[in-house]
Amino acid sequence: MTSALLLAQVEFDVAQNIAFAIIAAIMLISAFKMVTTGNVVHAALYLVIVLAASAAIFILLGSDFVGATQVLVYIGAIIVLFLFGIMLTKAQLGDDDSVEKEQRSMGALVGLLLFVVMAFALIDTFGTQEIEFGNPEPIAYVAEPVDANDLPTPVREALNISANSGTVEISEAQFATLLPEVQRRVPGAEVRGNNAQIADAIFSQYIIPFEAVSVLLLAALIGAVVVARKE
Amino acid sequence: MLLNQFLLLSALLFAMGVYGVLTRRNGVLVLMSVELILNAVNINLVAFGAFQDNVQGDVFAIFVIAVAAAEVGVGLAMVLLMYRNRRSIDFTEVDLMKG
Repeated sequence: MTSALLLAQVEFDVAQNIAFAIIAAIMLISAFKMVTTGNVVHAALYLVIVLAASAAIFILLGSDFVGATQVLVYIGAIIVLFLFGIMLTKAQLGDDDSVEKEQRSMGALVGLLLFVVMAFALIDTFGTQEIEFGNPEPIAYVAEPVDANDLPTPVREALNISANSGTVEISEAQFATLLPEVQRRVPGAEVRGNNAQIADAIFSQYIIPFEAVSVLLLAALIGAVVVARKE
Repeated sequence: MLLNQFLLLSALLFAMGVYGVLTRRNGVLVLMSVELILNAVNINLVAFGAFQDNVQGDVFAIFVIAVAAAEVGVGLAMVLLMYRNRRSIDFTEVDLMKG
């Protein structure tokens, strides 16, 4: 039992790691192409791949809401802004080799140095610490008398309740015997995922930063219009 | 999964973004490289959020995305203004305050 569980755990981790390796490889190749390609439009399209890959990384980390936001805001809106910027400025669509060789090698040196210092600090500090993906939160039990007819079929079958047995109340002991995927279909059962926690955090603990961000977006909107409009 | 594999990925992405900012002359491409840097930071935030098993990393990542959107809007407006005034978006030509 324990070894089977352990094996399942390992198998799961292997799948995640393979997914991570593929996503990371795509992401890094695209990022490298993005900063080296001479074609401006190609750079924007490589940026799309990088952003999509990082959305995939967010989902891999269990933050599906951040991943969805990334796709909506970055790929949906910011890339379009960039493409408009490229079009409106008639940037040379061909090669952009105007960068001096010296500046290029200095940039590479600075980037490499930054990476080496950060990698050293990270490996020194965090070593081989694992991210523990905890079990999903247990589904809360709510006592609620319901008509047997309204119960979903899987719940009825699991508890041996016939459809015409009138009003029934599922006891806590009965609820505990159900599988999680059946539990969440019991009426009144409360499923709390990551998203509910994010919503709680944004609208209680971080309500002032949230309001400040909305004012910031308005200010940026007005600022962009004022700066870019013709006199 | 190791925490460090995400942090190292983000460090590499950050370094590439810095390389892009330093070597590009086209203003739009410089802004794109800044986005790369912000994205690296976001991966860090979400990875630490998962590591500590709370949602604060996610919340800050969402704030960073919102601020990045505002930054791109204003930044591109400034690039457009520069293009209108100088017919060029080469950032190395903007050296009015050079000593």
